Amino acid sequence: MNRLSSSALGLPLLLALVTTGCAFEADSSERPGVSLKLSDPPAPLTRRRNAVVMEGCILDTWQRASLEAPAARHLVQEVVLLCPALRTSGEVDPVDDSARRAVAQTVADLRLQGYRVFLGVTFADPLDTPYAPDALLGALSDGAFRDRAASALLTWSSLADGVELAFFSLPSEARPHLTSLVGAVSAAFRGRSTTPHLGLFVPPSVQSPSDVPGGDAFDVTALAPFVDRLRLMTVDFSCCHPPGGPTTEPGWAVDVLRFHRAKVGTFPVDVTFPLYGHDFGPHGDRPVTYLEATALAATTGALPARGPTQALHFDYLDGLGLPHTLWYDDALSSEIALRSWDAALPGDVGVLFYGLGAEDPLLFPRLARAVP
Amino acid sequence: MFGARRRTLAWAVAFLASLCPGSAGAGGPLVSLEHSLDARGRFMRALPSLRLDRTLTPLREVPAARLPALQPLTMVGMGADSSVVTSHRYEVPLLGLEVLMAVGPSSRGLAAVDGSVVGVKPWTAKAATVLLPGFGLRAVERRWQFSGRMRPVVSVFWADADVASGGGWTATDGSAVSVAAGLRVELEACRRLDVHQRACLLASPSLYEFQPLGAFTVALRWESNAL
Repeated sequence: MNRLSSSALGLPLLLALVTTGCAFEADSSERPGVSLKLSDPPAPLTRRRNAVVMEGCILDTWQRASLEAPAARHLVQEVVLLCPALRTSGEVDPVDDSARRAVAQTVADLRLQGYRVFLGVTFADPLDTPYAPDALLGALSDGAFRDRAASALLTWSSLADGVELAFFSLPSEARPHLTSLVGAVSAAFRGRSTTPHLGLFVPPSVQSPSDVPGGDAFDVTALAPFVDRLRLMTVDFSCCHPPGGPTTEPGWAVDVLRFHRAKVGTFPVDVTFPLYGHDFGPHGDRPVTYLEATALAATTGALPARGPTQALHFDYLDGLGLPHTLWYDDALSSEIALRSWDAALPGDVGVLFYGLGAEDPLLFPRLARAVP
Repeated sequence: MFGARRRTLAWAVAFLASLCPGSAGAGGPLVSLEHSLDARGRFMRALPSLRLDRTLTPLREVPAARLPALQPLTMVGMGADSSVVTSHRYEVPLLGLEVLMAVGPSSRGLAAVDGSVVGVKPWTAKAATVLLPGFGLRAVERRWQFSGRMRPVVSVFWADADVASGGGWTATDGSAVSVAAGLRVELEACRRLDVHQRACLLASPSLYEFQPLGAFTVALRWESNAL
């Protein structure tokens, strides 16, 4: 009796259960979410083409140790040394041989460790400050300047595996001239038997006209055929006074990527993840390293808290009693950001870690454990 | 084949006949309607996979998404139930309802949707479950009664959620919700208080509820067969 009753009632109930359960779950319009619960050992992260940007031509001991460590060598394939500077004369500094030899030695050391090395060229005056818009526009619109610059960049490219153009704060009127300059550099590079790599740092616009300073100077559709890679500068999300905010925003970076992919299709593109933080004070903001941030928290007795993106932040008063808010990433918040990108970014999109030496020392070891 | 059908039919007739008064020898009414009220606690192995509606933040539009199952959760609440008992042995649970809310400390559960960080607030979680008709057996030993039941349920679970937007959170448009059918086992031990009332301890593992072995419910229950 019991056996019969159980089967007579249980079977239809189970069938009803399964069918209703399926009906509840089916909805094709939903995107799958990704858990950001961190585990030990960490869940695998998509292996991407990773690069680091280091501001300067010569590695300090900290940076050297970071890049020599197995974790960085496992994770990072490319190093961009952001140091030569294009002047309005068309020359690229430093011009003296000893400085170039030192750069060449750094490049050689990095290559020995298995990295591809690119030289990131800025467009700045000898004080490393951006030129005035008029000066920039005057130079860029001059065909002779563009030829001299292309020639100088070709010379520099021979010191490494290629050149990345990192021109920030260009006026919108420079749009056609910038395209001409990049075209001239590309033509010079492609005339060589072994074509050096040519990359371009691009402001993080999400709309047209651009919503970021200098964004409209970049006609990405016209520029893409001249370069090998676009590096989207998805950093400095928050500006410039308290309460400030995180240095990047993973969702925003996804939108930046999609905006540019809509223009250039599947062209090779990187998004950028900052290794530094920002100290927002009444007189503006300044970049800070992870160790500086943690030291400031300890000195001022501040207790860092996690913001929505899990970046750390705290408030403190400076020596004049002025209020500051400091936002920075540690290894955990960085991993959260990269995991947020994992499902949203196509696998061919690379990540450019900006500001080698400013990172949480645990970052690369932590990420290296997650990346197969 | 026909022989098997006849046998099944005979068993069904026998079962229905057992429901009729006078077909069993035990004392008291052969068919009784019982009802119960209880206070219950529930441990969920993980938050259900919640559906998040499309949300517009100051920064971007986050599409509708299905969040992954997140951290464990403890809930407390109340339940009401009803059942028909026949021959003091066979029990057909009818309809029941339980309502629960989250208790205890819990941290925000984090997930990523289309690149944006989404935070589910488990401490705002609530659940309502309709307990559907099932089948069970019971045994009575003097003042004690032991019973076991299996029954399907339909559960709704919802919690507030936010989407990260730079340095701030943006509340989602509506709660994150999950609706699921499930199957529970109910094991119960009762002590008779008087002719009509019993005090019971109920333990109810969910065989499937949002996920396999997704929850475990414990309840202190008052039962009565007095109409």
